[in-house]
Amino acid sequence: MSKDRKTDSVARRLRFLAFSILAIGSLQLVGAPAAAAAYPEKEITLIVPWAAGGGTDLVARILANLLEKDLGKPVVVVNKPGGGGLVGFNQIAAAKPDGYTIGVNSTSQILQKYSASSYADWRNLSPIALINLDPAAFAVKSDSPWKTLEEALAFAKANPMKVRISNSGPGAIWHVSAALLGSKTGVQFTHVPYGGGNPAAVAVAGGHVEATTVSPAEVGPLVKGGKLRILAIASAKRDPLFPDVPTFKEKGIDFTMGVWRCLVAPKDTPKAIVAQLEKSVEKALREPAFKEFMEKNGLGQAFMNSADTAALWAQDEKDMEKIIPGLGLKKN
Amino acid sequence: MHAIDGLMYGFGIAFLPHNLLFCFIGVLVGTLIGVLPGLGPAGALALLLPVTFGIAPSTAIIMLAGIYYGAMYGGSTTSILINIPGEAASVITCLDGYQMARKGRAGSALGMAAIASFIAGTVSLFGLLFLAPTFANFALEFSAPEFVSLILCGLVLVSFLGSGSRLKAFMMACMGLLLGTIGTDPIEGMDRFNFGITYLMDGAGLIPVIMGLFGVSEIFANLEEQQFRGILKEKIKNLWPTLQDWQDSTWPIIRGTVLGFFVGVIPGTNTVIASMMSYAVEKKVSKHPEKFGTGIIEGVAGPEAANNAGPSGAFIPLLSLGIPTNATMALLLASLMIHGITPGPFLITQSPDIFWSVIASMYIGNLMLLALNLPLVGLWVQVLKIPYTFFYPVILLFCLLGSYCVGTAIFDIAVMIFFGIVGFLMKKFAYESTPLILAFILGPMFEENFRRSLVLSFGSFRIFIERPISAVFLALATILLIVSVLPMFKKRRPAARSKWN
Amino acid sequence: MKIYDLLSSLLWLVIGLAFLAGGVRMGLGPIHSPGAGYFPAVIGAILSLLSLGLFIKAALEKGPLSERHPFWKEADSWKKVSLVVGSLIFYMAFLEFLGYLATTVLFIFFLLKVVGKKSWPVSITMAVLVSLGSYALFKMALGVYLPKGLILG
Repeated sequence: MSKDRKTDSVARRLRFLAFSILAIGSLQLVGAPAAAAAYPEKEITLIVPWAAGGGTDLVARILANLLEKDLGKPVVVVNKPGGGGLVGFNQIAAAKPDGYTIGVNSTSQILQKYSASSYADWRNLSPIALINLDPAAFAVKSDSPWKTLEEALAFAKANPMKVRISNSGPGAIWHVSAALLGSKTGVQFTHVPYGGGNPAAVAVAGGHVEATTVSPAEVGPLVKGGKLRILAIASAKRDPLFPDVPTFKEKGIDFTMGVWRCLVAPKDTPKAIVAQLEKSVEKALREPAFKEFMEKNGLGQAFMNSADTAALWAQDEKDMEKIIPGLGLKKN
Repeated sequence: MHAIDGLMYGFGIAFLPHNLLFCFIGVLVGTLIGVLPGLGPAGALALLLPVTFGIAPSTAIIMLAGIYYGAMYGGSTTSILINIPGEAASVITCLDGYQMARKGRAGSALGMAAIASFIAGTVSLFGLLFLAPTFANFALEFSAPEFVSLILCGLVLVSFLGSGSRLKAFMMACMGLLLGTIGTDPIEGMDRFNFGITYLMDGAGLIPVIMGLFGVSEIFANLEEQQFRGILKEKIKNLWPTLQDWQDSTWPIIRGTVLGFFVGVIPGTNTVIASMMSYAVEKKVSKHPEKFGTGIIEGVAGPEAANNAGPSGAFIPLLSLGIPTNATMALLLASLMIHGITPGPFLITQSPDIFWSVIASMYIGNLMLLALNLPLVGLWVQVLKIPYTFFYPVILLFCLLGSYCVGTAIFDIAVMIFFGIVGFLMKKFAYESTPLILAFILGPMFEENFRRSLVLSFGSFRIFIERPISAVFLALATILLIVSVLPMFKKRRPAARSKWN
Repeated sequence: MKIYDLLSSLLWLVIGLAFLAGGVRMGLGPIHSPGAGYFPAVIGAILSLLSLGLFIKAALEKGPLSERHPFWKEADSWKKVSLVVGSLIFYMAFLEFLGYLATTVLFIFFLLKVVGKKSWPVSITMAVLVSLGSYALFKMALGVYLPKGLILG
C-alpha cells in the first residue's frame, strides 16, 4: 500500500515537472522571437580568414554591406589571414557565441583535415548559409589541338604524366579536383602548383601547361579575351555564364567538385540569431547589387540554408575522407 | 584609333571636372597609404572598392589607378625620412635616401625622388602606348624558368649593393634566404620551420620584419646617444635639388626608367628587382662608387625612376591581355570587371573611352603626384627638426600599427620586436640588414619557381638554357656574378667597421 | 671588432647547421625533384661554410681581441633601450585587451614621461593628441580595424 502511494506521488511529481517544463518551454517560445527581434543591438564583426583584396574578401565585403543595410547595425569586416584560412577559422570558432562575431569559411576547412598538418574542425562552427559555389572548369589554350574533352582525355590517357595541369596551390581545392578527375578517368596527369587561381590560368594562356581546373571566375577573363577555352565544367548543371560548356556528367564522367563559401558563426550561437542571419543573407543574395557583382566576376551564385549547409559539410567530409588518401597527395 | 587621336580623346574625358576630382582623391589616398605602411595598395583598394560602385566606370578606374601610383610614391617618403621603406620596392631608396636626409639634404632627396618618379612614370606611359602589343605577348612568354634566371640576377646583386664586408653581406643574404623558407613549402604544402604556430604558416610577415629591422632597430641605435637631437647630423642644406643634383641624376633617371619599365611588364615580379638593378648599375658606372651608401643623389634618382616606371609597365599585360601582374593589378582587374569592362585584346576597340581615359589619367595622376608632393617636401623636411624625444614615439606607434594591421595579429608585433632587437645587434656587430631583407623577399620566389620549373620540365635542368629568355638572364647573372666577385680578388677592401663602434 | 666577429660567426654557424639538419630531416628529394628540405639544407650549408670562413678570417686577424669601444655607446644607454623594449612588449600584450586608444595613450605617455623625462602636462597632452589623431586617421579616414578592448577603442 505504501509503495503504491509512493509511486503515485512520484508520478504526480513527474507530471508536475513535465507540465512545468512545457509551460516554461512555451514561454520561451513566446519570449524567443522577442529576444531575437532585439538583435542586433550593436555592431557585428565579420571575420574573413584571407587577406584583404582577395576573391573571398570582396564577396564578404559586399555581403557585409548588404547585411548592414538589412540589419540596421554596422557589419565590420576584419581580415585574419594565415595558414590557408586556419587562423581565421580558429578565431571564429573561439569567439563568443552571442551572434556578434560571424565569419566566412570555405572548402579549405574540410580539405585541411586531410591535406595539412593542422586543421580547424568544422564541428566548432554553426553554418548560417552557403553563399557561393564555383565548380572546377577544365580549360585549355584556345589554339590547343583539343577541341573537346574527349580529345584531351584520350591524349592524356595515351601519354601518362605528359599532360600538365596547373592548380592554385598544393592540397588546395583545384589540385584535389584535378587529382580526382585523373582518378575518375584513369588518367595520370602531372600537377603543377601555382600561387593562386589567376597565375594558374595565366600559365595555360602562356602555353606553359596544357590545362587547368580552376574556377570559371579565374579563367573567365581569359576566355572572354579569346585566350582560353573551357572544355567541360564540374557542376551538376551547365553554368549560366558559359552555356555552351558541357558538364562532366553530360560526358558520362561522374565528376562534380568545386569550392563553396559559407557564412558561419561559432558553434553555440543561439538558433534564433542564426535563423535571422540566414534570412538576411538570403535577402542579400537576391539584391541586384550582389547578383551583378557575382555575375561580372564570374562567381557562381548559390544559396543553401543552415540545415542544408550542415548536411553538405558532413557529406563533403565523408567524400574527402574517401577521395584524398587515394590521390597520393603529400600530407604533412 | 590612332595613338595620338586616342590620347586626345582620352585627355578630353580625363580632364572632366569630376574625373579630375576623383583622380586627385585617388592620388591623395594613395600617397597616404604609401606613407603609412601595413596598408598596402591591395588592401586599400579592397576597402575603397564599394565607393566606386556608384560612379562611372572610367571615373572609378581613374581613381583606383591614382591610388596605386600614389602608394608607389608614398613609400619613398618614409624611406628617405625615417629609413623605413613603405613597401618592398622602396627598400633601395633607404640606402642613400636616408643618409642624404641625415646630411641635411632631405629636400634634395625627396624632390629628386618626386621628379624622377614623374619623369619615369610619364616616359614609360609612352612606352605603354606604343609598345603595348609587343610587350603584351612578351609577358605571356614568362614562365617559371625565366623567373628563376631573372631573380638569380637579383640575388647575385644583393651582396653587391652594400658598403660593408662582402663576406658578411653574403652571410646576411643566406640568412634572409633561410628566413624565407619559414612557413609552408610552396610546392608540396609541407610545414617548414614553423613549429606548428599557425601565424607562422605563411612565413614571417614582410611588413613586421621590415618595421623591426629597419625602423625599430634604427630607433634603438639612436636612443643610445643621450644627447641625440634628431636624425639630422648636419644642418639642413637645401630644400630643392641643386643644379649639380640635376646633372648627376639625368642618366640614372633614364637608365632607371628603362629598367623599371621592362621589369614591370613581367607578370609576378616585384619592382624591387628593378630598383636593385638600377642601384647596382649606377654604382658600377659611377666615378665614385665608394660614395654609394653615404648619401648621394644617384642612389635615389635611379631606383626611384625604376620604381615608378614599373606600374606603367604592369598596366600593359592588364589592359591588353587581362592578365594581372600582381595582387594590386588583380584588384584593378576585379574593379574593371565589376563595371562590366573585360580587359583584353578587345578593350581598345570595344571600350576606347575606358582605355584612353585610363592612359590619359595615368599621366594626369603623375602630374598631380608631383604637384602634391613637391610643396610637401618643405613640410617633410621641417618634420625632421622635431626633437627626437617626441619624434620617435610616433614612429614606434607607426611601426606597431603597420605590423599589427596587416593581419590583425598580435603575433606580428612580436615579430617586429624580435627583428628590432636582431637589427640592433646586427648594427653593433657590423652586419648590414639590406642584403637580408632583399634575400628574404627574393628567396621564396626563387625557390618556388625553381622547383616549379623542374616539375614543368619533368625533371630536366635543360629547361633553363633551352628557353631563350631564360638563357639570356642566366648569362646576365653569370656576368654580374663575375663582375661583383672580381674586386674581392683584385684589391683588399678596407676592413669595414661598424658605425656604432 | 675581432671578438664580435668571432662570436657572431659561431652563432651563424649554429644557425646554418640547424637549417641544414632540419632540411635533411624534411627530405631533400632527388636532385631532379627537390623536396621541401632541399633549399634550406643547401643554403644552411653555405651559411655554415661562410661563417667558418669568417671565424677563421677573424681569428687570423692581427690585433687585439677587443678594442676600447664598449658595447653600449654611453654608460647607461642600456637603460633607455630596455625601457623602450619593455614599452613595446607592453603594447603588444595589452593592445587587444585595453583597446587601441587606452594602450596608445599609456604607451606614448610612458615614453615621453619616463624615458624622455618630460613633464606631466606635456606628456599627457601629447599622448592624448597622438592617440586621438592616429585614431581619426586610421580608423575613420582609412577604415582600418583597431581593437576595441576594455575601454572604448
